[in-house]
Amino acid sequence: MRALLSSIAAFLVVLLAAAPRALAQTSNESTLTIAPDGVVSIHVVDCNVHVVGSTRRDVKVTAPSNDVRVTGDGSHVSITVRPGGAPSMDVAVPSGVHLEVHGVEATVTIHDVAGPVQAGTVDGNISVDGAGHDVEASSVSGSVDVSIKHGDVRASSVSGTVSIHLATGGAAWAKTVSGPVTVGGAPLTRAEARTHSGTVDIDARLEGDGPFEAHTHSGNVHVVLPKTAPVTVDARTHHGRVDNPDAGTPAPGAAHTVLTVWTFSGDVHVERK
Amino acid sequence: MTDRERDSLRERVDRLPREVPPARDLWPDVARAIEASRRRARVYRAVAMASTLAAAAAIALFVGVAGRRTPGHLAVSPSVSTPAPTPVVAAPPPPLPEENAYQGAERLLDAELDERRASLKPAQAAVLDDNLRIVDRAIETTRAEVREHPEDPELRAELDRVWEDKLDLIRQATELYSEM
Repeated sequence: MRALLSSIAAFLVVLLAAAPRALAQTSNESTLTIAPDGVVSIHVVDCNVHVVGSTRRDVKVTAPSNDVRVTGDGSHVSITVRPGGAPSMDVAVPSGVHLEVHGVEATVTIHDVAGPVQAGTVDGNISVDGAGHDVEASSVSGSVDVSIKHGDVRASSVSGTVSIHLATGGAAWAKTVSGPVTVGGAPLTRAEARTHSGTVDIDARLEGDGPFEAHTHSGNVHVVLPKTAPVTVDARTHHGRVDNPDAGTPAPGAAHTVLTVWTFSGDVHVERK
Repeated sequence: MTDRERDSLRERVDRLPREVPPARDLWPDVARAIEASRRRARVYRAVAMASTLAAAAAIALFVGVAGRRTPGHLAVSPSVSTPAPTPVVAAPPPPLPEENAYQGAERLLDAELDERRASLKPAQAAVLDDNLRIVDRAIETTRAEVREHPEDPELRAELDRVWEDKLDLIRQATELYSEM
């Protein structure tokens, strides 16, 4: 009996002593210096990636595995994770770097990277927010969500949701096949939204020559514009209905700002707020 | 005790005189030491057994956690709008002459995409095929309308758009799959 109690006590002691040590040993860090405008390339398979930009002058990679390959020469840092290498990875970079992320079965989140961002995944969602400027993001079967202050954004998916929000304006190009598209912000100097079987929602202030277009084949289109915005909405459908309070009455001073809306078999609803 | 300490101890023991008679009977102390050693061995065995169990538990825990890792990266089902009724087409109408250029481009791009198909998982191939079917249906319904209203520029523009969308879809999928 005493031996059994001793065994149980020893088991618990060993388990408690080993657990924190094991946890500490599973997290690995690599740090490489890089130029403030250097290039950071990330290629991962089956690994979720979280990238954060800041004022730091190096690239720090933290992953719960040492099966992450990090190489660099001061102007270019390359990070690779093979299948099964690590389930997730945190990457801290200087804010101004040019960031490229390619993933398969990988969720990608990017925060406060002000340099050019290019992100693509096969199965996985992409989210970009914070201090982005020039963002290009695409996924096959994941959603793409870009929410930054100001910038030029191209976002696309095949079967997922695409959403772009530019708080202080910029240019937005959004496209998907079977998902909905949402575009918002003010002022937008270009806005193009396209889907096939999904809906299109635009809630924005539009300025300039554009182009400004919202197209869907079999989905509905919902447009919300500021009440007094000098924008003419040219909304048409082949088989659906159009509810456009501006129809036939071009807004004053809106000679050059025209939002073209088209759906083959959906409805169009235009709203002024 | 480290190897270095052990070697040092051996050297010192080897240097001791071997003819010194014991000052007293040493056996009781030796017996106690043996018994203590046995007790330590039992404790060590228990600790070893516990360690093995702990290791097994840790491995089981890790495998369980890894196995349960939620596929957070997988997209949720897209919320697709309920489309307005699309005209029913009895049979796909034959392509219009102006679609020849698109079809030629499609054949070229399809050949490239087909090379990537072998590496796709069934679910990935299903997503691609489902969306290609969506665009194909859009092409067919628009084509049928263009045949009925050949003078409608909006319908012709829509036919161009859906074809360009199909080519874009194949290009985008090929590009992203090439990273696999």
